[in-house]
Amino acid sequence: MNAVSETILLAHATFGVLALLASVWVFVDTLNGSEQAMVRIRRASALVAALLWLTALFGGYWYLSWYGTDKALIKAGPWPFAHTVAMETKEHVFFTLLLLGSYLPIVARDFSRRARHTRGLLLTVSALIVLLGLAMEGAGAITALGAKLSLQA
Amino acid sequence: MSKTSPKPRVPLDVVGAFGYAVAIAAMFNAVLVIAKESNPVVMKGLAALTGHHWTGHGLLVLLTFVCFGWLLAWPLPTGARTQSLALFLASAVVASSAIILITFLVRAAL
Repeated sequence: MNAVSETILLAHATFGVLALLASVWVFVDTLNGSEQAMVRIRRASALVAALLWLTALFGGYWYLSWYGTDKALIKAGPWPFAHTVAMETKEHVFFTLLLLGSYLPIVARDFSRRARHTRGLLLTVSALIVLLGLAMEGAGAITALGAKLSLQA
Repeated sequence: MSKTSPKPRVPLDVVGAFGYAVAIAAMFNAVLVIAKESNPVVMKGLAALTGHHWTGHGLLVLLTFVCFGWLLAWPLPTGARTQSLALFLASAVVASSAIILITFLVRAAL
């Protein structure tokens, strides 16, 4: 662990939370459905996609470069499930989240062209991103706590 | 000469096609997790693809999404596709996530 690795990890979590917030924005503006909201929905959806890809790049790089040390620590500590369940689930469910984020701008673009029947789809996709995003944050917190408890043990 | 309405750059069928592609890729993600956790050969194969099983896994899931999205966009569209898509997509995402969680819970318990 060093300052660079911790900064990259922090960037990963930060971009994730920002993506989650942007998806809430999309959800609320879709409910609103005004003309002014159309442009915002398209832009916010693109932002969600961009932020999730940044989350993936920073998180993926950290995972491949530095997580091995944490993994060994967690598995040997008092909360091995922090890796075997929380982190393992997180690193695989994330792919689904990334797909949803990549798909969101496609739906948003269609919706903003007054294809109102995609409203339900846009609400569903943005809500799923929020729910999965919260699950990711929680799993990440459990993983971090697992590492912390291992160091204190 | 009358003007025709402009053709949308993202036709409706693309929305439906890629929506179903997300659902398919999400379920494939879950199936691949089960496969690689139960069979070391699959794990090694994924690692051989890109150097690490996780990136190999991610690459296959993304390729599944792109390929199915492209393939499903070929048939002529109907607007009805997106009307049932939201529920189908949500079900696939929830089911695949639950399968992945349960897989690792079972593995941790054994």
